[in-house]
Amino acid sequence: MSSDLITRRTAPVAAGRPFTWRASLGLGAVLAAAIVAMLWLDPYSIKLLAKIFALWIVVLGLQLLITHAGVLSLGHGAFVAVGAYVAGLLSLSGAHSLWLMLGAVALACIAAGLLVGAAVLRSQGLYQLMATLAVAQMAYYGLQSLRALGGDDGFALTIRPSILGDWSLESDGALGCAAVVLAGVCAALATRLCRSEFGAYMQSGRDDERRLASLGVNPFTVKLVAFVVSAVFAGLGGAMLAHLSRFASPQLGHWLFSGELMVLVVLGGAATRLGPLLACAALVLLQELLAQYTDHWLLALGLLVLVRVLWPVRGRAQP
Amino acid sequence: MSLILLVEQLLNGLQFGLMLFLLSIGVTLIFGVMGLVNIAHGSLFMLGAYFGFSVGERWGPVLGFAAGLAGAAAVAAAVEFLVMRRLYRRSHLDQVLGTFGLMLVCNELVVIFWGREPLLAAMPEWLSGSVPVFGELRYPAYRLAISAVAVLAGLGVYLLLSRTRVGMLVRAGADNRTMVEALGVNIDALFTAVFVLGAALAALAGLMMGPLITVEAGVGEPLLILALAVIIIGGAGSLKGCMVASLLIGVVDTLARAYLSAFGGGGRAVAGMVVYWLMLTVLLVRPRGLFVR
Repeated sequence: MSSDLITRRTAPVAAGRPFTWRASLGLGAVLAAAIVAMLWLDPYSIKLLAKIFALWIVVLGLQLLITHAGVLSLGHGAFVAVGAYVAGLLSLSGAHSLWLMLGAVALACIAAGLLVGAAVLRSQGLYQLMATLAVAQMAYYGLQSLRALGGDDGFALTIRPSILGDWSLESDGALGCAAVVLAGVCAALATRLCRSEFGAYMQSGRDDERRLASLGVNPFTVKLVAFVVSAVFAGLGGAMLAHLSRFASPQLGHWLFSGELMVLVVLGGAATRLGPLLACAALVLLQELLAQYTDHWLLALGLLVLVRVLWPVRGRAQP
Repeated sequence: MSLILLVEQLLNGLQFGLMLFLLSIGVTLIFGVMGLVNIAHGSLFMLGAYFGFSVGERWGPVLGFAAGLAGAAAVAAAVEFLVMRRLYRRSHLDQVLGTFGLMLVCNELVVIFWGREPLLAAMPEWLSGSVPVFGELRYPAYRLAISAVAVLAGLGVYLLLSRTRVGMLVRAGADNRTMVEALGVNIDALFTAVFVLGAALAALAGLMMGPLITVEAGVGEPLLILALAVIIIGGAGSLKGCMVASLLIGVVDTLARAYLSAFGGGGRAVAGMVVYWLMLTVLLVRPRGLFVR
């Protein structure tokens, strides 16, 4: 058996019952705890917690794509940047409805995901990585050249979205709760998708495309749908990240950020939705905690990744 | 005037392409022979420059040059032994992640030992002038000199690969690794040799590029991305493809940046994207690269 990080064992082909009691309770408990924490914590911790959940949305999509559909992407930072920029543009132009923002980000990412996916999904392995990287680099240079939107420096999002009329998510806590709820919806969707018939298509396409094709399913379409879904997740997470930091920057499209996202997927494992949440929490907290003592936290991240790749821990099988 | 500008930019492009070639040889051989995607190859470029210029500052440029090459080769041998051997038979995803982690470690170690300030990389006095090339055009002697060294190094690698026994094994390994192993060749030693050779060439590029660019932590990464584009365009494991693609990318990128920046932000964006359009087109039309059948 190969010692690769993604094996059939960690993410088996399974169309099962959509939600088990255990998984639903676990997710619900985490979300409830996060929302309660949002109400009680100090402003600094609220920001960190909200950032963890916004990042989780992005990683959930990429987890679906990499570990379940078997598509490699070193360019998902581009979709995060698209989400951030769409949210920023809406905020600048005076449209402050949260629902409008979510819809616009989703639409933009569906369009971008279809376009990019159609181009890159015909290649495989290293070539797929390079194709997604090429697309992301183009997006990066494209965003950098937008002088009206700050060019290299990016731009500030001064006004946060509102749920209804004057009911605005202006405080960090309110926006954080929105991020938690959105992340919960995304996690439930991802679980539902993985355990549906479509999820079984994705996983069998990952293991053997010819077998899937012989069942009368077009593997390309399956991969494309997975790609679009992950692009939308990335965009939604990007919009939340941008509103949380009140800032949208082309750096989100930089390939190093895409690399970090991939690292998070692998650290989080394939089997559960909560694994990536732990990985995101570890990354954000590590960054913040180590930043107090040393500015070399990337050394710790690099070593962590190396250890994880060189000595793979077999993930827990899906219950 | 415009002709002179064109010739100058062409020379710049060729010179950049040659440096890219030196860096890409290692990446393409390592991918072709060992099937390993090495994201950390840019770190060897960086380490070569850092070792070379810190030793050179104290004990003179000749020793510095030697120290840069030897230091990067030693690091490469250690990294190959400790990390890469475990990655050869793994999936591309694992390789990318592992070498990505290695790259982060290298960058931070450089920051810890040398700090975040860019390194002072002086060019040798006797090469700091310029020579007349064509009409009124005077071209920096240093750029011509490093281009010549790169051509010589490329020629050396070509002869090594096409005329020697080791080269024969490397080519055979690129074609069919399992068969070479089955014939009783010590594949471990061969892999280490290829890795160290690639590292020395990357360090050579770093040493020569040093005075022309800002040497700081992470300096090799943009070049590494271009080197990956070289492999896609030229085809993995093909030295000819590597050279043609490097020169193509060097010239196209330099010319695009020189001429399109005049059109403001949009022009600059297009100039930055040109290489990636090229790469994407090749991926769609010739997925295995231009020079691999």
